Amino acid sequence: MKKIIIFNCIALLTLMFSGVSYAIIVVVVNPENTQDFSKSEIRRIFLGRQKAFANGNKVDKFDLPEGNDIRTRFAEKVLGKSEGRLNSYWARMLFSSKAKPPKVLSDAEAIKIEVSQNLNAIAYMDKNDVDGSVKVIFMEE
Amino acid sequence: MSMKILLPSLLFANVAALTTPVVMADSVEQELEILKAKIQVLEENQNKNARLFKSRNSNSDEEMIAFNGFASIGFSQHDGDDITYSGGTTNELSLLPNTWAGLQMNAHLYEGGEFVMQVLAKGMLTGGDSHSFELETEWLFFKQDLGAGFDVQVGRIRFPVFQESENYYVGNTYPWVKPLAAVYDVLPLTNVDGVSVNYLHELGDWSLDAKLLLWASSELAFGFGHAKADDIHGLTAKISNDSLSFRLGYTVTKIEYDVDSLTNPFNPSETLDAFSYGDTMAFITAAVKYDDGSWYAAVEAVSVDAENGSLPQQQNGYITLGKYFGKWLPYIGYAKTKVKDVEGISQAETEKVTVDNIDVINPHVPVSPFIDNSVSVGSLLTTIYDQKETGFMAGFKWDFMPKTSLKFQVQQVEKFDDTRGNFGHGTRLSDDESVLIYDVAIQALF
Repeated sequence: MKKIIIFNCIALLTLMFSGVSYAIIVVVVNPENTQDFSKSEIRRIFLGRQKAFANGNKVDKFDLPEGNDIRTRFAEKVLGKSEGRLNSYWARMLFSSKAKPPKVLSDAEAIKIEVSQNLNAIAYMDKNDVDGSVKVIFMEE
Repeated sequence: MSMKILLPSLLFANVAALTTPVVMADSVEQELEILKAKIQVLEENQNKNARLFKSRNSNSDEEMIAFNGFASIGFSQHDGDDITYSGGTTNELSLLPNTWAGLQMNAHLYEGGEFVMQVLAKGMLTGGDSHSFELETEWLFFKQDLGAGFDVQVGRIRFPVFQESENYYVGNTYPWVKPLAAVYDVLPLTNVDGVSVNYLHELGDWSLDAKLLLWASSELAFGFGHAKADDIHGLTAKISNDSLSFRLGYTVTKIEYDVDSLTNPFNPSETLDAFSYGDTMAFITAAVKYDDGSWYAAVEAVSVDAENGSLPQQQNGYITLGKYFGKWLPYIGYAKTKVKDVEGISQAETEKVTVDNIDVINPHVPVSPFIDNSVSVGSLLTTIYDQKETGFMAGFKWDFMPKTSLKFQVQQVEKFDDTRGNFGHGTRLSDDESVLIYDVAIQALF
């Protein structure tokens, strides 16, 4: 009986903590993009303050849909803004015609298709979704 | 035919019939394999070309035409007498002050060229207690990217004097129901027709955002006439990082008043003859804002000066402090409206206006010598623009849904010192009086 109780406790704890694993956010570009990117440059790009890469090519930045957990974590961990503050930021930029927000793609698969076909694309995703069609340039631990 | 020939022939024919498709199938399959390989190479080349084409020609941000909008639906009411506060708030519950909707169209014309239009529907007082919701073109300009961080805007643009000028009606960008009257009602102009050059430069984690208003003009209707602002020039500069910003601005404008239905402030039963008056006004603005997602603080001040002394100098400002609790942002604030040198202005040697009688004397505006039934324009306009008010406020912003906020604010305004404060012309409130103003609104982006 005692062993059964201990076993059940261990099983319960395992179940409890098995769901508590946060995704690792990675920023990806086309595999043929050979440029280096710092975190501050990535922030400037995704906040619309830098509109071209170092080589002069215009940036195509992509986002995940609102409510997506990866998007929320990317905003908090990389951009330093909560969802509400990010919406407020883009409203201020958009309605004063200073910058436009990234184009939204449905999920990681759509991002991989876009990034693999677009040399100037930059996006982010869960590290577990990465494959050979994209190149990781930044990882948020 | 003998059996010796027929049988082998038949046998051969059958063998031929049976084996020929196999031989042909092998050849066809080989051909198919070769063709498949060729098609694969062609597809790979096509995809590569498509990637190159897409990279060179596409920009995810630059859809040909994009529409975005904002809206506010709310109510406002104060507990004072039958007087009207800035924005249209009365002692009756009303939609007028806190309800508006805007739609912006961005049309990407070519690389670096954009056409922007913003229309706004908002409540307007149309005389007495009447009001209506009218549609106005707030923005209508062409924007050209000049490279190296510069761009130029030509057309109808928002007058960028204050921190929230360019997003005045986008409620989701600030915590109050709308920007505070102490600062934002100083200048009744909200948009101008002109040319501005803008500059954006990144300095590591900091950004420099400057706007030079090269030239602009605008017209505005008042309750007692209209005014034309011309030769408007200005420069604003903001340095900011992710959480802190500093902003300075200087704007100067010539202004010509055409007054045609002004009640003699010294004798309310008399309507004055029409007259015109010109002056040059300068606005100096300063603002600091801090928002790190945990704390919110904003301070803004404006100093207004009229070169020819037709209006008193105003020095107004506000401070707001808030704390984030998840999606909630409760805040408190203080605002001050103050004019200076009222007596000096009223005594200045400004042009004279004929009046029939002077019975009511504003204790703050000693009338210039009443000679030949005339008083100085300075006395008249100073009486109208003699404003003092202190406000204390508390409220909250709750982002209960993405891009949608519920806001509530209560403000106590007091210490009017026998002026109208930020209430309508003709109002006079003593230092002993105070008024509570309630505002609530749901504001959204779409």
